[in-house]
Amino acid sequence: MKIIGLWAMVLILLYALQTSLLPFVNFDGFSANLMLLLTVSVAFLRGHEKGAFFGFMAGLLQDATTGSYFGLATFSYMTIGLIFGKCSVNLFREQSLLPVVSAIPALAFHFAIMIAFLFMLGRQIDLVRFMKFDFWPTAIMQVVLAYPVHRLVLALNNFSKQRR
Amino acid sequence: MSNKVHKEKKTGKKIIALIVVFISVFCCVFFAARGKFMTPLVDGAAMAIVAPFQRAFSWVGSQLAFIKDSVKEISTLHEQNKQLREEVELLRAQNLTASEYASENQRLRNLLGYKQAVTQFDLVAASVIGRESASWSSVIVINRGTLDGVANNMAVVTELGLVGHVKEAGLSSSKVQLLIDPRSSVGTLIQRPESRVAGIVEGDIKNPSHPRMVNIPKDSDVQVDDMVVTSGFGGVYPKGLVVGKIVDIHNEEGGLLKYGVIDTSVDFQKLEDVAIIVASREAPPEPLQPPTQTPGTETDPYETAERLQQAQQQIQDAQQQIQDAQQQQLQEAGYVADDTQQPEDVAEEAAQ
Repeated sequence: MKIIGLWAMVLILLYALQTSLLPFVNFDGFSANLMLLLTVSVAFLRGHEKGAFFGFMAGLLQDATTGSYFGLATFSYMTIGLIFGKCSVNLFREQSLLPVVSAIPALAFHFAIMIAFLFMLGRQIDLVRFMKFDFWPTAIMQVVLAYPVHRLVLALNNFSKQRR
Repeated sequence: MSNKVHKEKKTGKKIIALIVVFISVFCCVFFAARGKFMTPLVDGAAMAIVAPFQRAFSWVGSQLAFIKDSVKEISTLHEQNKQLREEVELLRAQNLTASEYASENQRLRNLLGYKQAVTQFDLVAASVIGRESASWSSVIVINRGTLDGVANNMAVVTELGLVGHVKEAGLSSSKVQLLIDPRSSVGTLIQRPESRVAGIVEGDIKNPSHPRMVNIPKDSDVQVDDMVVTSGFGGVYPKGLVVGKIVDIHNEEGGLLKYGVIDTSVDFQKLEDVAIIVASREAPPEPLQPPTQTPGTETDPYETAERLQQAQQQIQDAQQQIQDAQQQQLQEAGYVADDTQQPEDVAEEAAQ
């Protein structure tokens, strides 16, 4: 129970950090998506089930507080947690470079899901402009923060294993 | 074997649960986008949990932003200071130039006004470009010469009064001997109608800024504050140019004459723009002004003049008509030959 509380606390803290402090440390107006990094790291370390569940919780938190379309972030993070968790089966899970490398594909996947949903909802998006002005600045921030977030999740994961 | 079956069943249930969750969330998105699915309780609870942390992080963020801005400001302070100093210097220079232009504009306006006022003189405007170092306040150099129509002994003035005369006219510049030069002498008289006393204004070596009006008989009517103007005697200076005013009167040593100390109307220390009188003629008469009318019987002089003209025209027309009628009667009576007849016809008639 304490372990679940600890994970929940980390999730909330990182989310608060993402929505309050990180906008001050931005690149070209875009800051990192810590929830996505957290989901990817958990998926790599704990497998697709925990990854999907963690993505679900992170997305739910985001949708409930700042999300403009309820369920969109939930669906996206859950899918990413599931897919990246499945991909990690044949990989050495504690490889620190892995989440850094996968930060950009994860973000691309997240944006792809978002754009697909927005298209389905009838919203028009300029893809070239989106890639130029939205994707790359965020991707750079993701790469910069991927390693510290993964180290945090790794420490938490090891701590959870020890307690168990 | 039973463990394997149990595990497979468990996995199957998980997959079904996952699919259900995915479909539910997928539907949620569409319902929420159309406003048919609201979660106020979940939203409120999530906000209540996250808000305190957000507030704390936000405070930290604002402090960091403040520090970042301060550091950035300090790092750019030196450069900014340098730029501002350069800007101040540039603006000062521009301000100085603008003031100079404004001053020149004012002086030229005054000179132009004077030029338009004195229609009896042809003036050539000039700028002072130098002063002689030996006696810097008594001779000046102007930027007009013989090419501009300037010649020796031409009077030089400003809108305030007499400056001096051209001593040496060069091609494109000339030397002007000022009124206050000790070698200068100008025929003058007191402007006051009751006085009109004549004298000579000459520079005073002891008091260069105040020339003297000398050769004034001791018993003549000269008072302090009398205006002194040129008399026109000698032919160099036209009559009526303002020289200055008497500020003090002293007796000459001989006892028969006295002299007046003059405060010149022109400030020779601030001389920058002058005008040379290249030609002078009689001043045109003042335009006639209608006489003062008795109150209560005022008439419009212009209207009266117009009526007078109309009446004169009518009289002329009537006279012309009378002359024409008389001419016609004389012609009819045969006393006068018809103008329309040919000269040959008239000659034949005369022969007959």
